[in-house]
Amino acid sequence: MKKLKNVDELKALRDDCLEKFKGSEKTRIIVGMATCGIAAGAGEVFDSIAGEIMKLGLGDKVTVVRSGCMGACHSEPTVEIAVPGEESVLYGNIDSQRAKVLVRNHIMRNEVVSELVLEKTYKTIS
Amino acid sequence: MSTKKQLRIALKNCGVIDPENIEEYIARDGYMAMANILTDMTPEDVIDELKKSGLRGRGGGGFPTGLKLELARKNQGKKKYIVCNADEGDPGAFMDRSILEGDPHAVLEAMAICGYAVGASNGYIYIRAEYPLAIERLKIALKQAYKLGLIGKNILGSSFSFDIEMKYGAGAFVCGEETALINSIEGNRGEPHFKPPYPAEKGLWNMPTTVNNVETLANIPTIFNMGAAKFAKIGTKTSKGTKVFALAGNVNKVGLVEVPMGTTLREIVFDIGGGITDGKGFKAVQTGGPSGGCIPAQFLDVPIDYESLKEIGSMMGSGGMIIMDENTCMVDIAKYYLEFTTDESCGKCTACRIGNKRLYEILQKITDGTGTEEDLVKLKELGEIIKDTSLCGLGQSAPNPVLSTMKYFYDEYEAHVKDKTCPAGICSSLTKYEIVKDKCIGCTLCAKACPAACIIGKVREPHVIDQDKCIKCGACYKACKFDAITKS
Repeated sequence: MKKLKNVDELKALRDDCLEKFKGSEKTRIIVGMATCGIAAGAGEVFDSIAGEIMKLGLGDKVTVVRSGCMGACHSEPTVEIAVPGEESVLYGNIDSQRAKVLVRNHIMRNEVVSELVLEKTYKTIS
Repeated sequence: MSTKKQLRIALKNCGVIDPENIEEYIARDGYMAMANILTDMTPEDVIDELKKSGLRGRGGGGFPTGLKLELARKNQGKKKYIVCNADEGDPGAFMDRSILEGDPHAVLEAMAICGYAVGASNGYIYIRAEYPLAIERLKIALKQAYKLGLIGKNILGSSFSFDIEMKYGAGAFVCGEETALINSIEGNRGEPHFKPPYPAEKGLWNMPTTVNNVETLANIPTIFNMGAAKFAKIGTKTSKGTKVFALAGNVNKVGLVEVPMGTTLREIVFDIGGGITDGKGFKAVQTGGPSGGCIPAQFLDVPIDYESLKEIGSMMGSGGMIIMDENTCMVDIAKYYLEFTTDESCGKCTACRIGNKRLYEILQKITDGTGTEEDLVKLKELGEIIKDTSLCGLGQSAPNPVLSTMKYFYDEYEAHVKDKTCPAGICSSLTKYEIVKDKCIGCTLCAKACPAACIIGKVREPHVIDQDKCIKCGACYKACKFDAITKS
């Protein structure tokens, strides 16, 4: 990464980053890893998901990301799965076993694991 | 079921981006607000835009942010400073921690914007040392921002330079008060001083300083990206935008919520929070932490903003929101907060140091069952004196939990004092456990559970509690499977 010298360079970097994150056809798995999530076991969930993705050879189709708090403290650890072109799904009360179920069902077979879905009660400003 | 009542502005990136990767922040227009400001706007324009947005301090006071920056801009000084107050200390509050852990760059960007507006080239983040992950992520964010030249010398090739340094709090609640915080950054005792002079005049190292809360800052980049006019359309007449609340206590869906100002408590507790745990009844909601008050059910439909909460005897505060069910003793709650504030009082002024201690002692007396009606009069009188005479916000607001519970739950105070009972059955000195003879089958479970060995009785015969020896721990009450033990 080089120092950005002007606004245009920042814009160019933004477009590159957009391309990298949104333009790609990769599914994004986000694990809520604020202090609260980690305390509830999100670290193990992350490792489990990352391990499963490796094992199944899905590395070029899926990115696994650590994020901050998703807000659903009542159901930590939380995981959100965003398949390109589809509405993302928020899951709660995930442990390392359930994490594997999510990968196998939601990622491999494109089936939502409905009993673990959390309702999203928020909109985000555009 | 519930429509989407939450609106995320301050939390827009929380739980969405990887906070340790600046590229993800940039992909979501990160640092674009700052970049556009540096190329197209004068500092005065920035202040005007913030004034137009109606943004007010989210740390609790609700002071208009644009005005705060304007004051610091107008005051002369060799240097000026921007301080981010991340000394979140209210029991049950975790809004700022979540923002810092989930979207640290938003805070850095906002600080640089404020620096440009005020004419400051140095910023400090005062963060409590008990937030190691937030500190770690801020450090990573700072390093990345420096590397890309988004913080530091001649940002994006402009003549504007802005450096940010981190300072760690040592665990004192009072250091969230801005003058105490400034003292602490300077390496002095974390004690507040009288205002004026306000930090905007003589703040850090006696120079004009703006102190802003984490959540306030997190709103700023989005305000510039979306436009102040659009932001000002959200909320109520006097309070614009959204507020993040840390929903905790006896509510089904505890969590971090962000709602437009003007949302009612009912919507937060029941629609978003999913109602009270175990199907119990709602009793009160505590807002504003140790500086706030308890709001009873009659106000569930009040649209919340800075003014309405003050009117009903509480305050917005930083955003802790503790829900209490019908089994909560309001005297006990008031005592809990008083214990906290007496513990955290810095001791500089008499009203807070001694006054609050006396308040606490009276509450202790009442919950012990030795309080008198005179004590209730004294409690109120003393509380009001402390409010009027304390030096800083901590002391001035410390009696609020007592005064607000007295206002709305006076019958409970009276029950403790006159009838020597605790209606909620929380205050152990006022609780009496008894075994109902007809219901007791003599299973001996209670006797086995009793740590004081004060339950007497033969197997298959009704047992009796020796009231003189009973320590009122409630173990028997929990152990009994036949509802044969009553609590009064």
